[in-house]
Amino acid sequence: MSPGLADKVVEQIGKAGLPISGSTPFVPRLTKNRRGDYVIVKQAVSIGPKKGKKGFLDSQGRIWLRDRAHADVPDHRDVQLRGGEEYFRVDMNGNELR
Amino acid sequence: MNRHLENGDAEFGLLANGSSTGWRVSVDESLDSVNHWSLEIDGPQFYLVVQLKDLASVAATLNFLRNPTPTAPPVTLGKFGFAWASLVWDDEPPNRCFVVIQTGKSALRLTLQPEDVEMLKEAFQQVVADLPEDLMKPNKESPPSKRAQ
Repeated sequence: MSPGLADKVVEQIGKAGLPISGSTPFVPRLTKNRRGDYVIVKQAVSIGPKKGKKGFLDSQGRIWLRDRAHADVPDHRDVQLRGGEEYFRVDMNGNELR
Repeated sequence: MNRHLENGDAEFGLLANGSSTGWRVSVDESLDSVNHWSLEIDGPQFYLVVQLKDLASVAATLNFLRNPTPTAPPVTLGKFGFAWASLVWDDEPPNRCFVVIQTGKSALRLTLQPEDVEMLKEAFQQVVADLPEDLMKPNKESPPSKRAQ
């Protein structure tokens, strides 16, 4: 976990079930809202079959979507690249699924 | 409407969230507009995003889920396009609940089983606890109050 994150942000990442360890942990993109509080940025996928579904934006501009177990893969995150043009899978421990 | 919203590339800030087993609930705030919030429900059977008329409706939804009453009027979740999305209790046991989105002669009904209701209730409790209190005042705009058919 990145140092200096507000307790509320850390708690929200935990409730969202985003991995904070492993080889590919989720590192949030933060911004200030109108009240001056830091918030995690979310964005919807803009292309592909997941278009319209919102996920969590990371520090590299990738959108982390929740996906359920299917095709012999346990519950995981689809990490969408360039708005959904490509993606890779990360398990709940922050390790890439291949 | 904001260009970003039309193009689908708008950015939102996570205002509050909650989870319970298979369910995730979050309230997101627009980073472009004032007092523009959306409610996202991500569950085992469906994924739904509606636009909130105010943040008080999130607390109203929690109160609704806490009190299974078949005769209770539906509670409005928010706007789904031009339609309102509501929750309504079934009028026979067990305590099932329906998400109803209806406009004109078109309708979508999604069934929440009692175990789903319990999990959603827990997730909404966390969301309400996470929301800034000063933003919880009700908006005067009124959605339809009649019982969903």
